[in-house]
Amino acid sequence: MDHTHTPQSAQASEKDLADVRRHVRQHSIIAVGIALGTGLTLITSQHNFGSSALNVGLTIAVACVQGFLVAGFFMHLLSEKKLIYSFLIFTAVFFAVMMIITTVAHMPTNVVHYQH
Amino acid sequence: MDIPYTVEPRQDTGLYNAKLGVWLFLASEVMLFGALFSSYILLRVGAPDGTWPHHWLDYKVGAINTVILIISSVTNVIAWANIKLRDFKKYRFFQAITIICAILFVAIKSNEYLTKFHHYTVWTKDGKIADGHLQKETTAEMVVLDGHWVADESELVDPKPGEAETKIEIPRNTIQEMKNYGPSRHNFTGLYFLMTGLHVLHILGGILVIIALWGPLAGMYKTDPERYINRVEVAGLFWSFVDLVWLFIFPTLYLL
Repeated sequence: MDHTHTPQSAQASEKDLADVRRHVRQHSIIAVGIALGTGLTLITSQHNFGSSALNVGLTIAVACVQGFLVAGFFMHLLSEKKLIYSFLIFTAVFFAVMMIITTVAHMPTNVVHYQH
Repeated sequence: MDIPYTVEPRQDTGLYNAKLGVWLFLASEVMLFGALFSSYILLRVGAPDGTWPHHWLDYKVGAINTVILIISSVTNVIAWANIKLRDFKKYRFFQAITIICAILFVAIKSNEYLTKFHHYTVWTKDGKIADGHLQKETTAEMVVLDGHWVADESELVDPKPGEAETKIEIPRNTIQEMKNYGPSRHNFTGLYFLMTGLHVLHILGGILVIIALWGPLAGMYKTDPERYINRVEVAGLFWSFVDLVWLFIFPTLYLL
């Protein structure tokens, strides 16, 4: 079965082709950026910045930028419908609450295990 | 009766149903992986000083897998752009690269798991500790490791990279305990296998869908091209999400 010569393929205009070329170029640049980010993550995690919190913070920050590039461009989130944004805002809030609960569980002022 | 909104967007949401569905699914996936990251933080922060392992995973292997997944995400997006232009040949070519990358990722990960299951620590009855990879010469009487003797338990927790490895022979009757680096070894390995295992299951699920669209379901492109393209897009969204999750798993488990 040959799918290469459908009637629609003839309809792909020059503008569409230029669009795809632009897309491919843009995504390739972003992919290189993400790969460089991986290298940067390696450097920030190995280099001693004087505080382990700073090391962890920087490494996670680089991972967040990489995540933004994937979600924003590869998943086209930057040009998505408002409804999807509203779902994701809810998700982000629930996620943040979960992480806050985790952090609160380790605060020394909180008695997690009661002693009798 | 036709299922509505498989191609055209609903007026109220502005989206076709599959796209809305996959985003809702991805939102639930964020919470699933989020719970595991939360567990990791909880256990790591709660571990007494000097007991949480470092350098137990080879970051070079993790970095190679990261690059492989990035390449697969790019080829996946390029494949989608080409199918939008009705260039089925190019779509298939780029999606084939995506499939190869996924298989490569799973192969590297499987080898990494195998290495962990063959990596043992042996505690002898006279208080010595050996750490290394189990060799084929191991018999019912003798354990043979390719590794080194360890000064104390703290060296096990944070091994020095580049330690020279030698062949160590230990008679079984002198062994007090022997443990590999499997999931039951430590909270860290437990979470490592759980998080990466769940991620690999997602890789396998995603690639099965991509292979199905590439091969057995490709006929739909002729009968209902718009719907087929939407399916490719939805599968692609899931694939990018799998890549995104790995971008956080890698630094968390391999580097920090």
